[in-house]
Amino acid sequence: MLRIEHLTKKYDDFKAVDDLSLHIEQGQIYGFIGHNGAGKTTTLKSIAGILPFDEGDIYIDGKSIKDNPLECKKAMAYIPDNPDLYEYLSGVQYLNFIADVYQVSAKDRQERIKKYADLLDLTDDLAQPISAYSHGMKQKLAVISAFIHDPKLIIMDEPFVGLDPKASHLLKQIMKDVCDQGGAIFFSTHVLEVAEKLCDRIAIIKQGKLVISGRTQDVTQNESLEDVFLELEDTHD
Amino acid sequence: MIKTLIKIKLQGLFYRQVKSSKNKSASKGKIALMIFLFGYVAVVFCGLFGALFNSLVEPLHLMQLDWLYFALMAIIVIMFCFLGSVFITEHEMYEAKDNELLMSMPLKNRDILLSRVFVILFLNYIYELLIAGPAFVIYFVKRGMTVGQIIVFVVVFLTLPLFVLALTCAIAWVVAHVMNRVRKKNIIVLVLSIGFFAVYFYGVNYIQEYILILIQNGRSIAQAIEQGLFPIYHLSIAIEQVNIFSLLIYLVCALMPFVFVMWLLSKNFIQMATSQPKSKKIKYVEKPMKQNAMIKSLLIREIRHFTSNAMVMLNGAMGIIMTIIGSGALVIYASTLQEIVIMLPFVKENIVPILCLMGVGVGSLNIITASLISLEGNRLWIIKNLPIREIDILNTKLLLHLIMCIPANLIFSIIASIIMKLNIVDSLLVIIAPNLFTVFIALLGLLMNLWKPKFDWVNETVCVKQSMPVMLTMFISMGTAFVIPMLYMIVLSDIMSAFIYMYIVMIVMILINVYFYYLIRTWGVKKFKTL
Repeated sequence: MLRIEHLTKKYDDFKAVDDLSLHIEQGQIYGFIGHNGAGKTTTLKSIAGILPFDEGDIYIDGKSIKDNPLECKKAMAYIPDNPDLYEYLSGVQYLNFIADVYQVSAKDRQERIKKYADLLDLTDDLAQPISAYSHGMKQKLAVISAFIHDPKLIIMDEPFVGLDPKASHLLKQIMKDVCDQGGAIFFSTHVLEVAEKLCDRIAIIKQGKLVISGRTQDVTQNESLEDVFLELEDTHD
Repeated sequence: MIKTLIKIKLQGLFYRQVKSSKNKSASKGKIALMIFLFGYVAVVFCGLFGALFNSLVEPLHLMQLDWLYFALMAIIVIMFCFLGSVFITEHEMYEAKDNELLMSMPLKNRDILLSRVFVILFLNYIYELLIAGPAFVIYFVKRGMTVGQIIVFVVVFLTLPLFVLALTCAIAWVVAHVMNRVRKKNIIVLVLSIGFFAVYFYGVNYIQEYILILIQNGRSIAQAIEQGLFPIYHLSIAIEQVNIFSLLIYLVCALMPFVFVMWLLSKNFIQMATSQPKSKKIKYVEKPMKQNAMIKSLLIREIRHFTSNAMVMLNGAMGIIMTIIGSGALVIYASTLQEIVIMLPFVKENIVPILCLMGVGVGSLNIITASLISLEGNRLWIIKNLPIREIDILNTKLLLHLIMCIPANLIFSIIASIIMKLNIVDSLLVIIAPNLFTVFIALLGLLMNLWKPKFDWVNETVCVKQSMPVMLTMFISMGTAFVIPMLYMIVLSDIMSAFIYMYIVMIVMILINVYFYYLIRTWGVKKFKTL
């Protein structure tokens, strides 16, 4: 579903991501862990087609994001760490805009908006301007907009930040459902307990380089993910 | 501690003006440019007020109404400071974003309040200097001043902004409360701003007539001030006659409201700083949804964004307002204009190029596209991660500019053609030329914004008022609108007729537009990908 091959992204002379390769298959929830400034967001933005990169390539469903950006973007959705949305639109106007871009039919968008907005308890607020939303409500709206076109791959940057416990629980359930239906999720998080419980696979990045990746139980090897992460941080210092 | 707070506030005030994109520190060139621009504005205002006081000083002295000179100065100071600071006061006092941060620190509430008051006061002193400065110099040079008069003048200079501050705090409180309850506040701001501009232009156009009326009715105006605005009267008498009793009356009148407002603010600061704006919640009612074409949806998004902020509209599309006002003026003064055209052979012969140039000149004030990329701000990720071609994004930005400006251009051109009784060919020329220029500015603005985008703005008003692409587009478009007639009048009028010149200008404009659009499709698309 997602194949990252030797991805390198530089900001001037600084290598934010250095020769990173990862493969994510259908049905997998893949956690992406690293300290602040390790290169997680840069990697996720490169996959989402927001940032151009210097070397390597990214394939989504077998298509290169460099060569077929539109086809790749149609197959995926991206949720950023800080949901800066169009504050001049109402929630439902924003969702309709996203649905129009993905050419989601009127019937499908109506069903999906109702399903996810009801689930995340946002239906009553959809007519409100986004400027009146709290951080958590914006995050919920970003989540709904990501699911509106039924994507095969979902890229999430710290998706649980700002969500209340109920919404976090529901989002985890939605993520599992997506993967059960053949989708794939690649997300970054600092909450190691969540990653350990939720993810089939985990990748740890440090200073732009992939330190370790694989099945969660292979990475942790009977230790907690927190211990493994801290050990790796110390070893590579 | 209060010194640190004031320092931070003042730094914030000036840093906003010179801050570069991507948090780089301001370059020396940019600081020099800002100082030059501020200096230019100061010189213009001092010149304007200097001319006004210069025309008043002698006639008022001959009427033995010297005190009225200072009374008028004080009234202008109060009005100017009030208009200049009422919205800043609202922002600093009642809508400050850093109240909670500051209140969580070991700072006294009094110090937080005073630091905010000081910034407004500082601005008021600058505004006051632009009026009282030339008023003092003119009076000193023309009439001379004693040491006593100078001392009282300085006391008045220092205390008058305190009264204005009390007034602005009170009015800004009302404005903040009204705005919090109004849903379509951008419409109110737009209407008020247009009203303000109309009053400003009217005032500037008729200032000489008003000065004449002022001089002719000096005595009755003096009587009205003496009876109705007695603190102003005593202020003026205090300066003119060095009258201590009048000075005391004025000081009590100026300082009492200030002390009272400060006391009231300090009592209510916590409530004021922590209260949330009340707005009525709109409950969503499910309705059948409709699928739109992607381009249409992108265009609707651009229109909603552009019309969501009155300041963005006013700064980007002043030409539209002027075109509509111009169209109205054409209808109202139609017969007068027709008579003028008949009386002046040059105008009659060249009415078509003149109308074309009028459309071009007014159209040069529309610089909508110059900030449309920057206005995406930290929401740029949305359109970048969606499956949209870059050229479609850029095309809809151009389209927004055109659908906003072309209808107003058409109204003006059609009305002008009918009033001036032009034939079809001439009418087409009057219709096409301003619109070709509109396309030129739309393309130029977008190229400029792609070249120098600025995404880290504090608010959208700063983005549309102070960013480099906006300035450059404005100067180039206004410069072009100026150069086109000048080039003909100075160099080419002996070589060719104005009609031929207009046709050449239009052909050149078409070629430039084609080249600019080619640049947008090639370089522009590549540049957008890297943003």
